[in-house]
Amino acid sequence: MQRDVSGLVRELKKETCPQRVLDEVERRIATKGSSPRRWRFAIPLAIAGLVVVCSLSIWRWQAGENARQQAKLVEQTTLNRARVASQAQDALGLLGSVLANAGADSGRIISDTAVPPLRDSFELAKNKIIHPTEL
Amino acid sequence: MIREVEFKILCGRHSDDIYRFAHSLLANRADAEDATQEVLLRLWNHLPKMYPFNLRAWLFETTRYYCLDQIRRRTSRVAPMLMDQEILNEQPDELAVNPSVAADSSFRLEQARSVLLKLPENLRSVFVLYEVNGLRYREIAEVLGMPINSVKVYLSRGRERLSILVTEEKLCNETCQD
Repeated sequence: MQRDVSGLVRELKKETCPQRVLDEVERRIATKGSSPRRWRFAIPLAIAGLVVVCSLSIWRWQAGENARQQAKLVEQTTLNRARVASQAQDALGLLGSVLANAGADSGRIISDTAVPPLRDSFELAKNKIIHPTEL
Repeated sequence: MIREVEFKILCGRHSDDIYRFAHSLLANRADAEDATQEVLLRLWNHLPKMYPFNLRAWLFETTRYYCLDQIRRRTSRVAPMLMDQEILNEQPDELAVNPSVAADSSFRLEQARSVLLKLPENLRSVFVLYEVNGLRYREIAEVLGMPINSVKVYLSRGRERLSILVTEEKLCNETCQD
């Protein structure tokens, strides 16, 4: 009984793997081995390219932003100057008008309040000089 | 370069064992060849990080998983019928170069295989791994994911059943010849 099983095992042990299987494995490894090597360089290169493109676009965007900010600043300065000039002009105009009004007012006040008593005093003094005995 | 040399050595040492184990599980030469190829390719991929001391167990474990997966897929699809022309176009068996010798050898091998295939998968795996491929109990337990005692029990049952099957086959052959 045991001999029968041993015979069976002996028969099974005679079986070997065909050479074409090993050849096919070698062929597949050879074809497979080349592609990852290619990808191994292609992927980092693609990533590096992407990084460069991103950096360039960010740099360009940043430069554009700076130029835009500078133009805005120049425009703002011009506007500010114009506004200051107009405000100064307005202020000077106002001051002038105030001074003119003040001048006109002061002349009127002098003529209204100071001139009559002065005239009366002057008339009185003149009368004293002309007619000293009447006093 | 070292990897290639190491791989060639391992292929030379283990390819026959893998093929025999796959053939005993799949019961089909072409499928066994495919399985052997697949396992060797996986060995190539895992070789740099492979722990050399459990290599044999890893190889048989991978072979078994692959074969069981193939069996599951095979049962889920209907096997196509071969047309007459396809049968005629099939490549001749490589053992059939010397018909008288090869026929006898091939016949005995096929007979042994047909007897073995009558065993359930777990008993067959244990039997082939121990008797044909020469693995130790511990390695078989690792490959099949079962306790060592179970391996021993399965091996004993497998031997018993095979003895009965071989005897039955012999009796059948004798009565058929008469």
